[in-house]
Amino acid sequence: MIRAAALSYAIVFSLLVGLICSGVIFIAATQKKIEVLQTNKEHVLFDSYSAIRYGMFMVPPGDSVQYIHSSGDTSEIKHQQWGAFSMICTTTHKSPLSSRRTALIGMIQAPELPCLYLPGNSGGLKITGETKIEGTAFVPNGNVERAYIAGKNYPFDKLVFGSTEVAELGLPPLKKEWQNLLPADLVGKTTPQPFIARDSTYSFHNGITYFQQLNPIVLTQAIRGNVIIHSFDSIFVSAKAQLTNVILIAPVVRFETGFTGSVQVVASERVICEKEVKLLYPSVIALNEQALRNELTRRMVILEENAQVLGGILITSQQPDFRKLPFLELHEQSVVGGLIYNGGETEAKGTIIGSLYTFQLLARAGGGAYGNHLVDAIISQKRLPGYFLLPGWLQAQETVQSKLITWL
Amino acid sequence: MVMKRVPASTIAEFVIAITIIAICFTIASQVFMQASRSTIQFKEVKEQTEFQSLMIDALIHDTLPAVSDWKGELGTMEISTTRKDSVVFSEINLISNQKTTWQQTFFSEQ
Repeated sequence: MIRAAALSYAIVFSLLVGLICSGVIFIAATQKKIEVLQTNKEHVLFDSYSAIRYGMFMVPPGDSVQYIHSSGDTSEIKHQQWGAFSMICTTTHKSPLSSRRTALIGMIQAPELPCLYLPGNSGGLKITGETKIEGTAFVPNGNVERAYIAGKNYPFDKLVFGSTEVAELGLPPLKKEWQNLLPADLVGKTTPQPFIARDSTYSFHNGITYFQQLNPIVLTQAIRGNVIIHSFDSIFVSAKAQLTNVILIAPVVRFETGFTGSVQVVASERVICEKEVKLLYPSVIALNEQALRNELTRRMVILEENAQVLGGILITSQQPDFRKLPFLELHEQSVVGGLIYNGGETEAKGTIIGSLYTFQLLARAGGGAYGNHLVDAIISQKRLPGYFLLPGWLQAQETVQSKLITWL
Repeated sequence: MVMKRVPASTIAEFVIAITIIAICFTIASQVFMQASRSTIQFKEVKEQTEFQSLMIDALIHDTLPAVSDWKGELGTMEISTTRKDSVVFSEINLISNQKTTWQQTFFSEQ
């Protein structure tokens, strides 16, 4: 017999409503889960940036710490040296997420460096041609004079667009770690391996990859990151090579015309940047002359026409021979942005934006060579951008504040 | 034509059925209300994103944001600072409906 079944209908209806409710609850729960996951991802991202800043200010070089953020995330922070600069590596965790970040940092130094420091007690500095000195110049006896060489006059009213001070007899001393920079200082106890010629990126979160070989190395690859390439003979960097934040060590390093990249070079004999070579910020050329054994070749760094180095050039000698001092030659239209410290002789025909510390100056013009002369050189501290951090090589430089140079 | 009369449900059955349906409606409406009310509303999400943009810009470009940089309408930005030697710890909070929706520590040096 058929009967009206209100209860059955109600039960079916309740099951239907229950099903819809379950669907709604499931969607809401999934949405909530996604929201929490995204929030966690955002926290990890922000905290990884924050950890870099913590490392910049709170972690001393060579040290590593673990930091717990207010969000509960934890970061492992490592502060280590990378050539002339410092590097902060962080790994931030929020289970199961993690984020790695690396940044190269430098220091704002004080006091502001002079644009030119030329020591000695000679007659002073003589300038001619289109030479422009902007900033404070420390020169022998505080004396700057006009000169007339190879038909060139000094055309401007002011000799120095800034102030002139009396220089000491010698260059201001370097910090101990920069007085005799050796490959071992950069490499530490890393085990070397033979150079593998292939395009690679080496993470700063892993240990240093140290390639070492007796023979010359020719670089044509795209190599970036935490790698030191060392040849006991020479390194030739081809124009098509793409090097980013790489350290090169060799007695002789030569960059082919047109090369562009950021590298730190440690050499002992010669560094040659051919025409149009651009070593981007932050790049450093360090030439450390070891004791000469009756060798005829002069240790030198040459920047040919339109070559550019943004960062710094450091030239030191462990046993200076005053007849054959290490030599820095800046050709016409070449540019150095940053700090140049040359314990030898400098011939500047290009532009130096930053500071030039040199033991001697040389100008070759009209068939003659003139000591402590500048011809057509621009040396300016005033044109240095505010974000540009100079290497802290001098003892007189005191670290004022850590600043971020670049993200790696 | 022969008409067949279907016997009606009992009153008890009817009352139970109505009760079940009423409970179902109540529960379903509550579930729907709870589910549709997201933990953060669209405007709050938008403001939080703007705050995060401000923070990421500050963290990447190395500049501590000022309270005046914040242009949000729903939430307010509060910065509390503590110092340890030369390092300044700045706690930057985004407060919306008297609730901290985002907190970020910013380290700087003086």
